Amino acid sequence: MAKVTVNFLGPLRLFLGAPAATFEAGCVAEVREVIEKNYGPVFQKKLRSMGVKKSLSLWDNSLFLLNGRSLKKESDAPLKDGDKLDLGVTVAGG
Amino acid sequence: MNGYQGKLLIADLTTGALTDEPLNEKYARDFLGGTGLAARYLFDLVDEKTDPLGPDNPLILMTGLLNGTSGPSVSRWGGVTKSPYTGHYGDANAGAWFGAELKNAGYDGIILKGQAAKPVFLLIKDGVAELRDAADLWGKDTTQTPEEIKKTCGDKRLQIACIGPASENLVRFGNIMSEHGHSLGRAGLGCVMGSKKIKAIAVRGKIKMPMDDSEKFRQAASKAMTEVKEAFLTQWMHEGGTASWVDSAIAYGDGPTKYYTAPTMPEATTISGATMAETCEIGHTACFGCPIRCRKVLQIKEGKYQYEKVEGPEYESLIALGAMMGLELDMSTAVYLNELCNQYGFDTISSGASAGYAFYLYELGIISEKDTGGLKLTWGNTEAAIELLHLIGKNQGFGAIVAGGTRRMTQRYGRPLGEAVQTKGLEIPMHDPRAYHSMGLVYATAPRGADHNKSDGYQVDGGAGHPDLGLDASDRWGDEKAEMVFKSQNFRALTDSLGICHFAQIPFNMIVDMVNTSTGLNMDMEGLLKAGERIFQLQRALSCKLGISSKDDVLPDLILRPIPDGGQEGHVPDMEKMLPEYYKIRDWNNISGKPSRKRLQSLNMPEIATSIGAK
Repeated sequence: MAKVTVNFLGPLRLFLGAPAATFEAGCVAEVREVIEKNYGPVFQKKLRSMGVKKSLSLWDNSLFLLNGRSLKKESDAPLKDGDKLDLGVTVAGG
Repeated sequence: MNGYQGKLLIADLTTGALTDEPLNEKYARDFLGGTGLAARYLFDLVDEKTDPLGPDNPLILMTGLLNGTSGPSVSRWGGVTKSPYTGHYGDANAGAWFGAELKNAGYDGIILKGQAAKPVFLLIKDGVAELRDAADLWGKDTTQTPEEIKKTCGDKRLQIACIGPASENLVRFGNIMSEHGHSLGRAGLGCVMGSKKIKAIAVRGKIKMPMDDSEKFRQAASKAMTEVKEAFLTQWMHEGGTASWVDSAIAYGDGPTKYYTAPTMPEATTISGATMAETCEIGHTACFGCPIRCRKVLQIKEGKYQYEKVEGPEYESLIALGAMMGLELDMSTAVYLNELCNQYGFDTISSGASAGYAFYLYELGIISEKDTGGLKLTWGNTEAAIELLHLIGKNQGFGAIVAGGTRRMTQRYGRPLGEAVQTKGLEIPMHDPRAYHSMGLVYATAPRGADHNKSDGYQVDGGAGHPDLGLDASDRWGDEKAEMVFKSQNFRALTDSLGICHFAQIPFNMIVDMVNTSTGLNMDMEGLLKAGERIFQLQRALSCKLGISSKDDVLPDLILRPIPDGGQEGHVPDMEKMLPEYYKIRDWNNISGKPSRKRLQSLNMPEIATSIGAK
């Protein structure tokens, strides 16, 4: 198990209600599970508050970056202490 | 022809003659609207000899096909000209309300010709146009100008596109500004207005546009509106705006820092859209008919520059006016810099990048305070940056040199052209091709020069894919990009001409429905994508007509130097692999860079092939 801090980038910081969170996990897929459990309801509540009726998944619109490298959503990439993990939206803009 | 007002206004500023010209229906069918349709008109009116700042260079403003309708986020209108900044084809598009109101005023577009002897502004109300004296407006900024015109005309609901002092001073990257900071902001279209001494265009009207089937259009638009309202991109653009990309740009190494030589500076997070939302946002503004409402309204109570109510800067401006010069900005200063550029009315991307190059040269010791008029351009010197931006707006002293852009600066200081981070004379925007390789190809091949909005490159590379185009999400550092760039460039050439915003995720079948029920054209997806390709190839052919060839489809050396630290991890796009593949797909000649005659004929443009001598 590694202790990793996940940065919620840009708008995700607003949708998940926090700039970052720290977890103990063995791989990225485990981090995803914990985020879904802890922040999934926050995400859904935020969308409801904005009037969204359709069911939108956090995971259809975001991706992890492990040490800067984009990962597939179901990645079982192992984690080690000190790894940099970011969760960002899948669309760039501006 | 349904879906159009059916006429253009031809304004001869030399003689003062204002005449209506019927819309060329063939052009409208083939190029739809916006920058596509405008480029087709421009093709007939300019050549290599046309002086961009002379009376013979037209400035063409064109509404997007769907402007003014009840479609969602279809406010974007465009302009084209022979660019005084790059010397070849220039275009730009913007949102806000001007395009919709121009349609309501009874026109699909305006062609400005000639040069007025003294400052004027153009007023169009319900199909009636007149030129008015603008002597009292000359010198006013881009907030004062529309306020004065509304007051003079006694009409608060006029929509106004104007220039600021920068374009009056013939700053080559001067903008045309419409309200709330929206701008036709690249390639110097405002400078052409300045050369013609036309300060502003004010429009208003209630002329109904004929639709092929109003009820079916209403139904199609309503469905599309529901889709946009429910899309995740809509939610994040509303909450964070483009400025919220700043944090991601830091992680991905996407935001050019210290003139493209350093990892994206993490300090930029203090001015991100998320920070705005958390600290100083008091509301949003929207373009015509847009449910996204992505523009932020801020109240700045802390810092050196305070505002009761001010437009929030967009991502491009935040990076170009900050990290590019190594500035560690607080929100107050970031807003001030953005306002400064908007009030003078010049391009934040080209000005920020050109100023960044000046800082780079100063740090290298190539230029000194003797050259800069006393400015100490060390990375992070915010006060020097502010002074330099003022000088750019005034086109004075060292500012006049920087206002010429990076390419002219390399010539002036005897530096290699590869230090000028531009393509075809236009500076590369704030999505670094070392962070998204596809953007290298997009920048190298965009008809007007570096243009981040002429594809969905970073969207697909960023993991979103594009199902309607059959494009799966891809890796941001691969170099199998030619097909994706080709398809998404065609798609964006199409949506720009229809007036659809990039942030509106409208399923393609609904776009087809809106086009068909408004115009009666009976198009399908394939037909519309072919129109997109036709528009892109036309704009390319026009670039070639004005002197561009394959030698101009290159990225500058400086942006091909790896930055090992930060989000780029030392990656650089492999242009030698991507470009030949792309040329083959586009059917461009390897030397002349021209589209082939066969390809242009297949796109129903034999006359364009003949005009440029395509083989």
